[in-house]
Amino acid sequence: MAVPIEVKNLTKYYGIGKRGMLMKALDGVSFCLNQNEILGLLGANGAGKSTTIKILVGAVKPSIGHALICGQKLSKQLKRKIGYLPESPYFYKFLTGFELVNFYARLSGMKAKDARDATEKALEIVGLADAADRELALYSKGMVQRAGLAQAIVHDPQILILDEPASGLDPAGTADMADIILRLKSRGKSILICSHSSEEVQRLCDRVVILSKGKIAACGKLDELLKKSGQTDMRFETDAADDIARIESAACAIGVKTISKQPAKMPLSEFFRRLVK
Amino acid sequence: MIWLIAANTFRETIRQRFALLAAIVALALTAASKYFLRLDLGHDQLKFVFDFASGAMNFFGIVIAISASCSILAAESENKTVITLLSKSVNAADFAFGKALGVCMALAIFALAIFAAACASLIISKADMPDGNPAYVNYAGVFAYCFVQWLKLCMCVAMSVAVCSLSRSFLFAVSVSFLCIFCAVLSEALTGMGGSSWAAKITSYALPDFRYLESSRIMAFAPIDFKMLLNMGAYSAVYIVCALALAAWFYSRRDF
Repeated sequence: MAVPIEVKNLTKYYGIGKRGMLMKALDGVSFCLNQNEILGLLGANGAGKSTTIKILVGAVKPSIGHALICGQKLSKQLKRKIGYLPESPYFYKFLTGFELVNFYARLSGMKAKDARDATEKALEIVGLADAADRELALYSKGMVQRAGLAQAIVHDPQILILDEPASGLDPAGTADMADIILRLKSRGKSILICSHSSEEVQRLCDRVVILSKGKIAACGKLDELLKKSGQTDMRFETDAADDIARIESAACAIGVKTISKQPAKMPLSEFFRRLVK
Repeated sequence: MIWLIAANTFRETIRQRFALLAAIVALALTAASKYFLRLDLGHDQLKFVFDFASGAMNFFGIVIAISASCSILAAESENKTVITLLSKSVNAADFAFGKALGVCMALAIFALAIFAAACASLIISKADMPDGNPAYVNYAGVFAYCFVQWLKLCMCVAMSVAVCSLSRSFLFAVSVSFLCIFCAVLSEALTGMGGSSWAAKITSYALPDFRYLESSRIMAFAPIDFKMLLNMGAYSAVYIVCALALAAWFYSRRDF
């Protein structure tokens, strides 16, 4: 079976105004997204993430190389296998949430009745069922982001391409979005996530591709990339001060140095999430 | 796909405040044309009312056609909604034809409203005329004229879509579209002035000849010439399809 996304030697030049001057946005990028995998595309601003994604959805033409979807070049029919969430999505504000998602469901080739049912289901999944009849002009940024995810998943695509899925979301929304993405993975979807947030990528992704100045700087499984050779981190949890002293002395006795010791704290995002839930 | 995009664009067009305002002004002028009779410089009273309605439809129709097409297409690129559209089962041709069709549908409503206002104005003016006046108005002919003018507006839309496919800014698209319409209106005069100048010839071939469509105005006061109507329809259809095909070709090669 063909891999969901295969990118081979992708190179893209953009004209930069001055006559004949070209800027290389992508330089021989090759990677693949495997079946039922979450792949993170990381990189600084201008690293080439958005260009890569735009090439995958057919909004930008590559100068050299190609991107294959399920082993084939992108076509009108093949686009039905892709769900795309743009970065900071902006949609037609005069439409209601339901109308927007239904419109994109129909554009994905669904019949009217199927589209209506799928729209209701998608809005339910992203938690917008109650706001479905409200115009998008009245949505908050986070709600627009959720509507964006709903339109990406409404036609039940095999491949999801999510550009900054947590952009504009509060910590609770970010956590919800992560849960939805993991649920989609458990349903067999292959997901490409483009993000600035290393925390988000670390939590969700099986593998990462790190782009720098249009080239691949690193690619592989997170555990392998993040492993520090010959070092092991250990964490203990105890309420008794005596235990800590005993552990420290035992470590000292065998020549292991204590580098840091601090009271356990929960991350701010988790604290916020507990408060607002 | 084209119908879905067209229906959405239609909704977008009728919500545009500027287009709505222009349409309301055009309708008000058409309905009130009878009261502008003192501006008449010796025309037949009914002809003046009809000319006034036709002028309002032409001027405001072209303004709506260009501003609506350019703003909708520029907004698609600037807001990047076009990328989400193209990620679905939509290609550049669906996009160009769908967008143009949506604006043309809104312009059809505008043309129908102007037709109704013009007919009302003509009926009222005719009722005010002294008995025994032999003035004849062919209302079906007025409808035919409005239809031809709508085709003309559709040509303006197609031209604007073609310009937008090459442009990245709203201002550039609007300016170039208006320039094209200006040249189209004057194309015959340009060829006349320039004689055998190649630039004048290319302009007259590349841009539609609006003067040809204007000859349909005689149908308002005479029986409908169906052959003429058919020729005008075919002429407009060929131009619209060619302009939109060109736009689709440019869009298919464009990076968003």
